[in-house]
Amino acid sequence: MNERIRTHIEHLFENAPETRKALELKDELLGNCNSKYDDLIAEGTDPDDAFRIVAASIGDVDDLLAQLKTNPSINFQEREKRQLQRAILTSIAIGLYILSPIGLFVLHGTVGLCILFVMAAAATMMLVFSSMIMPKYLREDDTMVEEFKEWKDHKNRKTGIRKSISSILWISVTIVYILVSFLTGRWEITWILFLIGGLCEGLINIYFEMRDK
Amino acid sequence: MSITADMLRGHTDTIILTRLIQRDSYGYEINKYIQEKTSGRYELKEATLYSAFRRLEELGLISSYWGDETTGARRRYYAITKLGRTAYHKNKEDWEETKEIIDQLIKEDEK
Repeated sequence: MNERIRTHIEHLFENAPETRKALELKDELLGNCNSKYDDLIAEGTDPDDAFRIVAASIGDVDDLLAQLKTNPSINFQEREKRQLQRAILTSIAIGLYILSPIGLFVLHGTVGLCILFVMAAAATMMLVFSSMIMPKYLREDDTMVEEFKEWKDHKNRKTGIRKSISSILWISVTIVYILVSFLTGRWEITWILFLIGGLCEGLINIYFEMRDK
Repeated sequence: MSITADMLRGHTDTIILTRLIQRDSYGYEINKYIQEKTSGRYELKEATLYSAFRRLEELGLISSYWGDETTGARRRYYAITKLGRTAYHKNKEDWEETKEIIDQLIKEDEK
């Protein structure tokens, strides 16, 4: 690695944006310029001449750097559309939660209770769905800060999905418990379903942990 | 020579695709290839070469990956995509046609 070439290229990139793309470009340029320099030296060129030839062959990097600054446009329209979808889904879900006990007032007994749970389950599913369609955080540029934001967003999404799965699980367990208990009338044993639910949750957690590794 | 260079510059993309259609390559090697093929009469500036790489990559005509050299500097290799092959053939056809037309136009008429 020739120090003069490195210094020269560092100097050319002085005003370059601090992005991954720019750093990669610098690496690429360094690599290629060094190969060229080594070849020239191997051919018997004087080191000073070799450096001059290499430096002259680089050309105007300003255009190149300007190209790096223009980011491909982020699709804002798509994002807004998704946000609207989420807002609608969330509102409907909350409405369903509020209305879910209606069955208990209108129809007495098991049927009303079933309606309550079906509505609650539907609302939870909507919330899960809306958290899944949330647009991923798109990096505005390639800086470290943006990379961190993307990572954080990714992490939040994962815990969001996990929480939703857990709430679906417990609602389903309750539905099954009530149904089975009413149908069989064996209340003294059916509570074991909650233990099974806890077991399932543990297994789901393990699955997520394993998958992340 | 400056007029020739201007005309050649318009075909930088096709020249790069021509190299990549034969095999994956990196910046310096492509430039060396151009120099050898033209017996040293033409050579691209590094900056021109890289802006062409970025443009071609954005258009999806080429893709890039870092080589795993154990010695020396890191090298970024470029490979042609399916779309790139199509573009190469299209550009070549276009050029053949342009060449024919210009040949006809700048030929002195027989008396």
